[in-house]
Amino acid sequence: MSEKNDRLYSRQHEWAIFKDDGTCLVGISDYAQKELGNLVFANLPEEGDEVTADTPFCDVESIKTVSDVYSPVSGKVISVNEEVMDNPTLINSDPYGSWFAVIGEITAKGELLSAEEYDEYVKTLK
Amino acid sequence: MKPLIVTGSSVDPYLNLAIEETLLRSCEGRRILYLWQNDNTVVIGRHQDANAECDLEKMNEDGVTLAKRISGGGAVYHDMGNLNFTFIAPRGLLSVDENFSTISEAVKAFGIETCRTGNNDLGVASTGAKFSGSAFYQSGPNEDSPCFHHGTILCSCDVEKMVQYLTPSSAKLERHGVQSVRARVCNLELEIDAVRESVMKAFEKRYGEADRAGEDAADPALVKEARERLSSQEWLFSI
Repeated sequence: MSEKNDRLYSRQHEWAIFKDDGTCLVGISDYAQKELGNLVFANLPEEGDEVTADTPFCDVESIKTVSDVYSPVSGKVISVNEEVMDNPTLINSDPYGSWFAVIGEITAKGELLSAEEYDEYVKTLK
Repeated sequence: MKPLIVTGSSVDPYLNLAIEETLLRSCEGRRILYLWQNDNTVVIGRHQDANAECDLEKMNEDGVTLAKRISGGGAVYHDMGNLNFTFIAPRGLLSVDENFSTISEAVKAFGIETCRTGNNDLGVASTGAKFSGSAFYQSGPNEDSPCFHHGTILCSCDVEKMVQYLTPSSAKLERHGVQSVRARVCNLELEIDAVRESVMKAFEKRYGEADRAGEDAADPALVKEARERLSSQEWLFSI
């Protein structure tokens, strides 16, 4: 598996793309979607929600389980991806294109790994 | 660390779900079995719409409580003829297959052979009728993330009532793919107390002797906070 180099990753398997305007796009990794299995529901946050780094900020339901999703940063939800909410299987088919939320007013970041470091980390898990 | 078996005495669904969640959040790597009962309650899955899943008017008339759990899946009716089990452990230690085997062994002690039906159900082998349904929650995807597998064991549940309160899933829920499973169900026709004992015995046979505790094993302050959240209108009616 090779992860995308344009973003950073958390040990809880979220990814984050930090943009020039100070906001960040958040989604879950390919490893996460595979572990979860076919997703049937994405319960995304609402615009304006305050989120805290390394704390659950939304959850997803697959045919196997409900799982919390952790925010890689502290900040405020600027927008959410309605397309993913309406069609959560997009997360399975395109985990790195299916962003969950844009987070702005970032005040803190959790510990984040480069693509290479995350790749190594994932290898230790199985 | 020895496993822990917690036996609930309350039949208040909000309190029981709060205890379950608190045991999970504070399990610290320990394997826990929690056994509990809700009286006269419809419990819906985390992403279900209460208005679409159950007959709220009829439930109100009959004094049936609406509760929503943090796990997925469909709506179920609980009364004192049903025993709930929750297997709590870090994700790396929790095996759904082992849990189903534990329940099967517990039931086999009464001479009833079981079979897996559907994705997450157990049935009576001779008829295939379902007596146990399960749902799952994980706090994260890592090996050490606490997670639980919980489910029902129908012993002498009022199936007539079950059907009255649960309405078939709406188009909206079908869109979301979260459907109520209305498979054929049956009771084991066993005494709850005997089944509870048998489940504890099968659990200890698999994982070794366990410490036993009542529901005060869960931190009362955390339980209180969780109960308030789980009984709030906002939680019950959000989708």
